[in-house]
Amino acid sequence: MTAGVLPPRTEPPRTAAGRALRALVVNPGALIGAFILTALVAGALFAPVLAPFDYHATDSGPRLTPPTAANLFGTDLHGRDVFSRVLYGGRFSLSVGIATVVFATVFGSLFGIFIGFAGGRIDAVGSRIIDVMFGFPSIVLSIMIVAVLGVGLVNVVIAVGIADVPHFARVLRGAVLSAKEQLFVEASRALGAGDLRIMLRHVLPNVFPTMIVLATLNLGNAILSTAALSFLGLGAQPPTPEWGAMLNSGREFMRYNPSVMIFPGLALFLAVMSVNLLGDRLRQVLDPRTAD
Amino acid sequence: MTYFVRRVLGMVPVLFVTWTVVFVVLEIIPGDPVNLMLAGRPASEEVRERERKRLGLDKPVLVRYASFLGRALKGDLGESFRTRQPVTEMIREQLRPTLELSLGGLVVGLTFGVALGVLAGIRPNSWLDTSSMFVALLGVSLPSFWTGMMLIFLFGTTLRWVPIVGEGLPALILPSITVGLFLCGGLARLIRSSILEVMSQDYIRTARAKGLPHRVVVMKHAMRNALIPPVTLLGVQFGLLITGAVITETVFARPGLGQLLLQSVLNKDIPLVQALVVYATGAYIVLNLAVDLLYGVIDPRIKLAQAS
Repeated sequence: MTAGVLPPRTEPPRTAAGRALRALVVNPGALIGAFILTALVAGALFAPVLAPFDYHATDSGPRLTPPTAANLFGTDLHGRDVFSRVLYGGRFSLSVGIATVVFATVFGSLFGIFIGFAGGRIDAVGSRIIDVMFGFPSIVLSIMIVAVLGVGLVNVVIAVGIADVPHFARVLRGAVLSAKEQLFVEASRALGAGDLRIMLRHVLPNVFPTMIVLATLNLGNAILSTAALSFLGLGAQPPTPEWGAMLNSGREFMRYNPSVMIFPGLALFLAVMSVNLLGDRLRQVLDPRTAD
Repeated sequence: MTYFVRRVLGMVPVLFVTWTVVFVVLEIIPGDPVNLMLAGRPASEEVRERERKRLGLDKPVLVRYASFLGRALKGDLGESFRTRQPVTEMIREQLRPTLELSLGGLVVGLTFGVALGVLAGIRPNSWLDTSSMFVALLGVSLPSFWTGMMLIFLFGTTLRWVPIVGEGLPALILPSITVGLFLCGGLARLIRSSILEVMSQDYIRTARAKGLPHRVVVMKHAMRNALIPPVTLLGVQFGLLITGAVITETVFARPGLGQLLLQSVLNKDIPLVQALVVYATGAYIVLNLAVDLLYGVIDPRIKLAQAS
């Protein structure tokens, strides 16, 4: 088997990040996802420039008007411009979703990596805790946590984040268990490296792709769950222009002007779909076992 | 049989832990239950004291916890702080609408989930696969509270095809679609990858080599094996059904356990929350046990005694 007989081929990018980026760019689904997400994030970031009205201003037009040239998405019950509110809403809905995933990733991964690496009795007890947390339907857990902490966006982040922790803990524990058996860990231990060094320098970089894939796959769900809690009245409170809360307050008036309900929901749906498109592709790229 | 007994016994500690967690959580929820019960009505300190005594709230935490566990073992889960009705009775009253909704949602979700998954799986990378997976993507990405509202607006208020309130089958159509759409996306993806895996197995090649028509190979050989992994995830589906119930019941203003749960937490109706969570956890555990047993039935290769 000499290199000379192999057909020439283009050199793939050497780093995992480079490969991931290339694979993302050549996939139409991921491209569409990236485009939509970029548009939504840009809309949220540049809302002060793009929004024609202040999102609190009640004199943006007549109440409950359908879309017009002045009010692209119409106005709500208080005469506020729905387009401006949807743009600003991205700031709340997207950042709350991201914060939730960061929370779950950090705590879930730390927990999973810790029990996986420690092994023995710690692992046994930790795994039982994960089992019990899985035993709770996540919405029950989230609602209970919000009941303890009180209503509000920050508490919704914590509630949905905690409910998501077992997913990360279980997967990361498994990843650590298999990484631990690798030769390089043994070699590093033979060289006299301590537990902490092995965990941070050798095990963590190895489970990192798994962590990223899981976080992206969970982001769509986190955006949905936090918006759902706001919709139930447990998260963002009026007049905050969070998409779920906007749907909740628009619910009773959709008969008079459906646009108060159509556009915040559409924004939410597009955000979740774009993140899912990216997450699916990222999983195919970084986790070759699931690629078909 | 020993496996079954061991599994049932294994449920006890999980229920116990759940129970304790619920007790502790509700203990630290801010707000005095007596105030919540009075709901703003004025009452003298004397009346408040009497209520506290009647509910056993004057006793130390540990005593309350013990008496709570003791009564629960006898099947008495207490009475609601708010309505003073036994909580088991309240749950029984709301069980039917939620069961109807969940069943309707499951029928819609399974039908579409299986159909989309199979269509995509038997012709990978075809237009059928792409479009099925696009529908599945919509299923996992659509916020169900928004879908529900759009369905009400389109088919209820604008077209007036179906009633949106009331009892009976017609009023169940839109809520079932809302829950079903929510379920079908994940299910379709799962079945697709399961079918893809099965289709590359040796016995499928053997079946083809025997000259069996494509239809028989797919329906008889592939389907039966491909449906095993999704069945094991029925437990996960149960969690989604509860989420679906809470949200869909709110959107459609339907009575049910989801509404009961949301209201009981907001009202800090401790006995009711405890009972609901215990019921949900119990149902979840029983369902998973049933799935494990079913698993052995549909896949005889699995010996349950060893699988534990």
